[in-house]
Amino acid sequence: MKTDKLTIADIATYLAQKKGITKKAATTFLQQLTTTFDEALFRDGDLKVKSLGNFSIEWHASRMSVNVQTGEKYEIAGHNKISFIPDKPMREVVNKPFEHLVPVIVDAKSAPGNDTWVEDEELRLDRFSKQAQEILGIIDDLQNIQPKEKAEPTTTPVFSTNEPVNEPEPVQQDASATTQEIEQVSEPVTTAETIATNNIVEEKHEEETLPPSFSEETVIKEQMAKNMPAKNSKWIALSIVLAVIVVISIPIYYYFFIVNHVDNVASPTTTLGSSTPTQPQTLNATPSQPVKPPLTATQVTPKQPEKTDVLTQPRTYKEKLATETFTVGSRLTLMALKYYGNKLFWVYIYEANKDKIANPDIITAGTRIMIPKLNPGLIDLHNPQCLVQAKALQTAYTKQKNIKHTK
Amino acid sequence: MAMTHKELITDLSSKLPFSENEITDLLDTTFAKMAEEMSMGHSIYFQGFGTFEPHRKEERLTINPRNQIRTLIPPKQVVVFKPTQSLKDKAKEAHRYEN
Repeated sequence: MKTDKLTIADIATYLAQKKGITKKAATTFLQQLTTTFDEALFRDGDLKVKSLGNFSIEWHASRMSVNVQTGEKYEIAGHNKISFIPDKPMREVVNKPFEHLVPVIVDAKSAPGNDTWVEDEELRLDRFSKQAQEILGIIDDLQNIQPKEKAEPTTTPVFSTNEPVNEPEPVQQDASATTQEIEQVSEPVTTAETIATNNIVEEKHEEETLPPSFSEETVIKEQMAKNMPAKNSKWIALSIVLAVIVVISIPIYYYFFIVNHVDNVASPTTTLGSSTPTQPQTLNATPSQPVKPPLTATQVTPKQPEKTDVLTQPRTYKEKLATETFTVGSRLTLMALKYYGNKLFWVYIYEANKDKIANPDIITAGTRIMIPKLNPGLIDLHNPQCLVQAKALQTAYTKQKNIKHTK
Repeated sequence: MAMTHKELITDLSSKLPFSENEITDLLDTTFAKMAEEMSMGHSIYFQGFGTFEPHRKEERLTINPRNQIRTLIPPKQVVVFKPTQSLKDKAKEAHRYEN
């Protein structure tokens, strides 16, 4: 912007016109002004002139530099420099052509990495709290049921204490061992209608049949069995154990919620709620399928090696066992429990209704779901491989969705 | 101790055939004229002292490092003083100022 360069003479002409003084006097004035500035500046080291600005002499310390031509290092000696900072009124007047412009916020876009991280954390916390609520709900249910029951505590602690150690197979074998015996004894009473009565009858049977099935049980179970007469103290101990398990499983779930999902979430529910008490229901629901002792005789249920074949076969869902309409409280796992006797088998219901269910976690109320009739070899509660397979599928589906399924 | 505005006026009036009021008036007029000329893009050269130049600063984008908000800073015009070579040399040769 050096289009025009005014000199003292130009300013003097202006002053002479404006103030009615001679041009010479004005020139003298301006020259004296600069001389005074000069003197004052070098005398004091700085100079403040109202409505013009501040001059100051600043010391610049010596520093090393490099000659860009030769790459040679040399020292710049310390020296003084004159700096000038204009006064505010001066700056404002000079900036007048641009004063109407104000800073504009282009966008309030935050750093993308930061953003997603925060969202992720929120999502996790959300899931985590949901999970905690569900576990609390299960505990509440359990506590509501417990006063009526006698023997239930003996089975639950075994499974729950095993659960954190991640040993699904032995647990399931134990379960099947006990349930087998129960069924054998309790077959006469399977006609009983309500679950409650079923449970009580069953527990009694279980109590009787406990000693034979003892061999593989853990020490904890022995202790619990001994404590059985002391109903109250045992009940308290159970709730404490459950609370401890919940507290332990929350952080574990939080950090490995995808990988350990099956072990931490599904297994307690299945073992707690389903394995023993609902056995008669399965018998009722599928009366044509005999239970294990006569298994070998029937044409439908194959032997152990053939069962594994059933598991590996691609599953088809042609026959319909029932149709369910989804309501607000409905869960695939509860349906699986109702029809197949174990919550884990929800994966098959999901597979059969994949066209209707986009996400097993979110199913809109009113969705009509086909409950498929499954090969009994696939949902054999006595075969640990069935449970393992269902677990594997569950893990696969939950991973696939990257969201846990709700029970 | 820096020279005050009043001292400047007194000093000038003692050396010039003007009263202090006249000096004040002349100074104000001079500086106003300078500012006005500079706002129009003209620079003012004081022989033996230096040049007052208007420099245009282009618009630029700033990013607030704390909240990443991007702001467009509009262009502006600032005053730059360029001392003459003689003044620069005088300053260089002078004793060390530390203030």
